[in-house]
Amino acid sequence: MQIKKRLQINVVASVIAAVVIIVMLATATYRVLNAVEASNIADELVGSVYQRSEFRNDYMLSTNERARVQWFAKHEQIGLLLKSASGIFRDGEDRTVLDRMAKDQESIGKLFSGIVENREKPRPDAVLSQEIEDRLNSQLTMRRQNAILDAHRLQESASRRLLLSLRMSGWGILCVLVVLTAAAIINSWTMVRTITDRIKRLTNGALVIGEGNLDHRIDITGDDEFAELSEAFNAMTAKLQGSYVALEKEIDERTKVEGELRRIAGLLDETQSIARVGGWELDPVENTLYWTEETYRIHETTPTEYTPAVETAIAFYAPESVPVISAAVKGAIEQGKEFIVELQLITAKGRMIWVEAVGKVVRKNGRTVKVLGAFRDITERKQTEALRLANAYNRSLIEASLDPLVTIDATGKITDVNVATQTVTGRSREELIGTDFSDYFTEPHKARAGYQQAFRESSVKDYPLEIKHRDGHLTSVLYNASLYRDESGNVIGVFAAARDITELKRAEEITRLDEVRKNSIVKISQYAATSLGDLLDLALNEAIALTGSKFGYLYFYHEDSREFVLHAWSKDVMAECTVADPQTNYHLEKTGIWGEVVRQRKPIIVNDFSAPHPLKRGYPEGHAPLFRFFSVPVFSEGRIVAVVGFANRPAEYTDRDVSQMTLLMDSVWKIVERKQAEERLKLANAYNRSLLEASLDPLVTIDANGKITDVNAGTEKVTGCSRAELVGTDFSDYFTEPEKAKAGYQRVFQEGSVMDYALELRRRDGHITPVLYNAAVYRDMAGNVLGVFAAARDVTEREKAEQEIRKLNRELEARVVERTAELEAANKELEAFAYSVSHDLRSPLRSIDGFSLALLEDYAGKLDDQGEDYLARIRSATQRMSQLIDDLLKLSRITRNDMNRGMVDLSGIARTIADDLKKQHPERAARITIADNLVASGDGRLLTVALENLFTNAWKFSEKRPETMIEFGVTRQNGTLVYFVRDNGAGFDMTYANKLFNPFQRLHRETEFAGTGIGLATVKRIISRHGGRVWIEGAVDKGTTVYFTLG
Amino acid sequence: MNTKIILLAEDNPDDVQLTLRALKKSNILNEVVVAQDGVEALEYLSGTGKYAGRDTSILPQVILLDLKMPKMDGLEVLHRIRGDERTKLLPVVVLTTSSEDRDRVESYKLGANSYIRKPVDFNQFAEAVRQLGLYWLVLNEAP
Repeated sequence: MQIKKRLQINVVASVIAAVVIIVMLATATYRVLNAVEASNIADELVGSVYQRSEFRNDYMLSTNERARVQWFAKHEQIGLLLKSASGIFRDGEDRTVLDRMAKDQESIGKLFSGIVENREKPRPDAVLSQEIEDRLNSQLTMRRQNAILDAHRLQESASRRLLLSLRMSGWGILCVLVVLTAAAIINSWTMVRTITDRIKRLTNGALVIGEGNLDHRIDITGDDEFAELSEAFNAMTAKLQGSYVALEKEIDERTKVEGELRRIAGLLDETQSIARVGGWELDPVENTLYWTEETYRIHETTPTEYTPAVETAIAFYAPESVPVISAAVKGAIEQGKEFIVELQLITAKGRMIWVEAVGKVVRKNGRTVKVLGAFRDITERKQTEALRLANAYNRSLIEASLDPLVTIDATGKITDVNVATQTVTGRSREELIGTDFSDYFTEPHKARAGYQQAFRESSVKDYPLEIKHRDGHLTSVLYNASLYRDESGNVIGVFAAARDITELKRAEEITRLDEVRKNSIVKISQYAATSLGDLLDLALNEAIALTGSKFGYLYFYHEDSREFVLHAWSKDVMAECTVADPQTNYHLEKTGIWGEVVRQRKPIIVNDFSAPHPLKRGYPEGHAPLFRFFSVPVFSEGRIVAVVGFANRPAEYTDRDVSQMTLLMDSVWKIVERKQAEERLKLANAYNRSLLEASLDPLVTIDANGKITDVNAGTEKVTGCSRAELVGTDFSDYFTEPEKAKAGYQRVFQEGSVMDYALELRRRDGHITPVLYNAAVYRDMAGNVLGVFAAARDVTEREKAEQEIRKLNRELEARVVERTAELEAANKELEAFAYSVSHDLRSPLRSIDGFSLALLEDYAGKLDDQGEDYLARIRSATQRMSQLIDDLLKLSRITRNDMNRGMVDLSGIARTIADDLKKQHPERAARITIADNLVASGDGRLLTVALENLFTNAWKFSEKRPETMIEFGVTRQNGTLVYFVRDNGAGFDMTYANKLFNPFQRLHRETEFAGTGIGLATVKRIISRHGGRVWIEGAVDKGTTVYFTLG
Repeated sequence: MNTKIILLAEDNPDDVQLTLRALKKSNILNEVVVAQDGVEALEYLSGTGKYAGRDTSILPQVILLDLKMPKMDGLEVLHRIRGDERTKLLPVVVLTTSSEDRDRVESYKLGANSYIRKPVDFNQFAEAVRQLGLYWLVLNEAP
């Protein structure tokens, strides 16, 4: 049976037991409740019977009406109790008792009724009454006794029943619990037994399988969960068995492959060992390095001593090879570059060897995943190579030597020669080897003696000989010779090295000539020439002597005009020359061969003048005869400035003469130029000095110690001391504040210059001159500070002028203050005046008007028409005066009030005014044009007043036109904005144009156009206050235009 | 009998005459008390000096105040009126010839209820007085 089912049975049994217990409990409760009710009724019955007896006794003693009524009530209650008791007590015995009680009840009722009747209906015979009563009473007592007894009996019976019911319930519940517990224990026990057994079998099976016995199967049959579990176990074991077999097969195969691999690896190692080539492999991803055995061997280490790693492997290389291999490996990893590099490696045993590392790259997805390669010891190859190179190098050195080198054996035969020897003898190596060494010298015996001395003394030094060339040309040499031996020290022969001293000899000659030339230059430069011409004469003569020529010449040459100008021919030639009127100036084109020196811009030599020459043009009749000639151009800053020529030396002219002359003439020309510059400088100095002296400002130079080094006449004048007195004294001594003067020039030395440094110079006679100094350091060509140059400016006049200005300024300020105060007072007065005008002048006017009107009104009948007219005129005049006063006040207010500047929208203001005008006179046809966006800076209130006046005027003076036309706009005149208000009104005569802006100035009669003549005056005031200008244009009947600008 | 008294503080007899005429013309028949200077106006209000013993519980309905007066000018009177607890709520109309801004501004600053510039043209003046009377004597509810 499945465990699940067993558990289900347990649950069902428990539920049934619970139901039985509940039913039993319910029954017992019902019975107990019944017994309790019966007991209650019995108790009540007993109590009631006793109470009824009490009521009877009470009645018997007092014949009390209340007692009688209570008795009957009780009696009736007992009857009812008996009835309900009969429904509860069903027991046979109980029923008998109850029946008896019912009978007694009835009798008791009748008996008591009889007693009551007897007492309340008194019989005549008292005794009889008593008698009857006694009898009845005794009867009643008896019945009552019975009733009490029976009630007690019932009570007992009820108690018994209650007890019985309780006991029965208890026992029942106990029995059920016992049975249930027993059943549960039995069920659980059997279940535990079954499970334990099966688990044990499962565990054992699993252990057996786990130990590797895959053939084992767990034997649990049945229909429970354990059977299913064991089946699953068995299936799993079967599957494991299957895969185990497959695995074993694979392992077998692998083992075979590994064996093969090991064989191949062994073979590889073997091969590598034979080929002395190692292998290596680098995994850049895992950062691992693998070496083959041979690689270990090359490193002179073993896998047990060293585990290859990228970081440590690099330490095997010599420092100069580390960057090479690092770069190669880096290139391989990062760019996939394969490499072959030769490297120096220091083995584990400290031996320096050469290796060749070859690297190949394996790449996957564009990344290097492996670098592998070969590793070879190439030390031997390297050593051989080095030896070969050294040999070749030595030989090349020997061959490259310009000195003729030769080896001679003991018999004096040549055994080897170098290229230089071949050159100097004019014979080939093959011709020379095996022949006598001494054969190639002018003095063979001396040569022989030389090498014999070398054999004897093992070396000779600076042994002079002359080598004979095949063509007879000779070369002076100095020999150094020494023995040379084989490795074991045996003398093989003599090694002789010759040094060609031809050049040396020539150099000696040049040195000599240089000396002569230098002496000449010194002579020339030291020659205190009175003029440049003398100097050049001397130079020319020196040059002729230096070259050993018979004569020479010097022409100046001007590149711009391409013209030669003769300076001089040497004196000797002048004696020989018979050319009549010799030419001194030549144009380049006209010159013959001597002009070539300029045309070709290089020296020329003609050693055989008689030979035909393509450039020769011949010389004029009477010219000194020439047979040799050379000429040199003289350059200055890249330009030919002169040419010198020399002729007729017995020996030929050579390049040496040219170079000597070039050098000489360069030096001479430099001397010439220096002399010229000195002369110019002298002139310039004199000029500068004259300027300095001419300066009225005191000028002075000071050295680092503050001593005066130079002064000009201005300084002499201002100090009253002479130049001689001043130079060498302290600069600061001449000032009222020497410390300040000192501080001044020290500042110049520190900062380089000062400007307007104020000092006071004290003249010898005590006169003080205030000055302002400007000073700056001055330097030599190399930039070294030599001293301070200080220029003073006498500011006496200026200070006077400044004082004057200050005084004037003060006066001016005082005057301004005064005037301002006056103005303020005037302004105040004006204000007071305006105030009183506005008040006091208007008051009487009001009276005049008021009383005139009163007259008109109150005395209307007493005045004739003329009288009324007069009064009307008085009134009109009064009002006009009032208007005048108002306008005047307005005008004065415009002058008085402060300006509040801001941006003012003139177009907007004009539009408001125009609208007002139209509203006031809706009957008038009017076209008012106002330009948009006229915005200006100004006082909005004042500008409003101005525009009001202008518009009001325009409106007023155009009232007689059929259609009023007013335009407000802006134009530009000479770059200034000009606003205008134009109307098509009455216009005016331009003759009065200027008067119009005066107050109270009118051009029309009051009757034509009303007005006080204040309007334009007001406008002018306002525009003036804005810094602007206002003017008017118009013609009679042609309208008016008022223009104005705003600042 | 109308108890709404008008106090007119005015030194110029012409102006007094004209003002009374203007009031009459506008049918304003209230009793007008004329103070000939500022001091007198204050004496009336406080029942002192010339007006000693006056029942001071009767206050004018409105005061017409000229600014330019001898002894004590209108602004000073206004200042005193506003400074006195008893009279500080009395309507005061400044009635003057001056049209200076500073007078107007000063009057309003001191608490004048209204500021009227007397026009030269009597008709205009009469009209102004009429409107004034209408407002301060008929329409205005005393506080």
